[in-house]
Amino acid sequence: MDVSTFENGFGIMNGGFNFGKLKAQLKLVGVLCLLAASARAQSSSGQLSINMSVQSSITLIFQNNPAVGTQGFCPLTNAGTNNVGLDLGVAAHSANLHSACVNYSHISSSTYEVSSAFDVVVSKSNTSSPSYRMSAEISTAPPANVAWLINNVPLTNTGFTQLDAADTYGSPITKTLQVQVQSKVPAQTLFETITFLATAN
Amino acid sequence: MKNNTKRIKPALLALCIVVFVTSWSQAQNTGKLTVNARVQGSIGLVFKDNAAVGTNGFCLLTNAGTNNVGLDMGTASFTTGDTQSCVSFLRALGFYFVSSAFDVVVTKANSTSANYQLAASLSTAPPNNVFWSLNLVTLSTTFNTIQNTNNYGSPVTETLGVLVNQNVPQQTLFETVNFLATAN
Repeated sequence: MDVSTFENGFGIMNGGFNFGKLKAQLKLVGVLCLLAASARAQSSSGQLSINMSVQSSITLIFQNNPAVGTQGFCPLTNAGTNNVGLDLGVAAHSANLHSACVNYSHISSSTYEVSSAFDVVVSKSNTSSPSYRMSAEISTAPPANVAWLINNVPLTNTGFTQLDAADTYGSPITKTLQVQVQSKVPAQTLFETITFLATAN
Repeated sequence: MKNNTKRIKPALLALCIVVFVTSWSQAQNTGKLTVNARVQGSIGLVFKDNAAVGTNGFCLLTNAGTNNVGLDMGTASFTTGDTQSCVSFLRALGFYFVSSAFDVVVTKANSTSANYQLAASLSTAPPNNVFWSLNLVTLSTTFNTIQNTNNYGSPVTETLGVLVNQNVPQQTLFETVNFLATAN
């Protein structure tokens, strides 16, 4: 057999086509195709469908003002959270007795005011709200002749009083808490909890 | 004439024998049936609830035990977390990450494959600042390999997570994750 015939599947032997050889080679090609098909990667697939709702939210925290420690800016306890404390110390109508970090003034001959400022920061998440409004409410009615105010706005325990209509998210808003005490109020310790409410516009 | 008759008789006898042999050989005819069949190797993939299902980080799958399951990750809020206790919730740096794990089981049949690789892809691109991941490998709309040599028949725990930036608008996220197991 001519070597070139073996190497060339369509070679010619003795002057004509070698159909027997061609047939054998075609069979070989067929077997190789089958082997290739069976050797292809085996795979399997699956689907996992998920749903989750992204809920918008806003958060409010109290922070110490940068001027904390100076007069009019007492330190908050637990600053940086939404649940803080503020100690306004001891104040008296006579002799201008008051804590060093508070502002103390007589607003009339019979009433004095103690105040301290702090910051409120409201941030937003997953919302297109451009601004927020803030209101506040005292938890319990104060004793007679005692008044609580924020930025000169008197607070009640009967409902939220709006303080701002359109504050900017993420920016510290300085709020001054004031308590006004008339001279006829008996000596006592004043406890009050003020609830702040930020509402997205 | 007599001689002719003598010659015809053996000839007729011989013809009868030929006819008989022919008909006998037709009754004995044989046939050959050549059969071939190919046994194809295959592998199968199913999703299963993890053994810790119901605890934090392991939510229940719907239609578990099949290759087409669902997962409800509830409602997530940057501020208050997720409404579903089975969802793991982490918050940091203006993002939150919720996740839930489940098992994938791949079995083989008629195959000498020693192990398999697992890949996953998303069906649709997520909204901006939303990132789906599997075992912290970020997923896209093209297949990403998650593991290269997983063992057949053993549950492999996969954790599906979604990272959401706090600037993403409120919406419901729908996504289908395609899993592809390929024999090595």
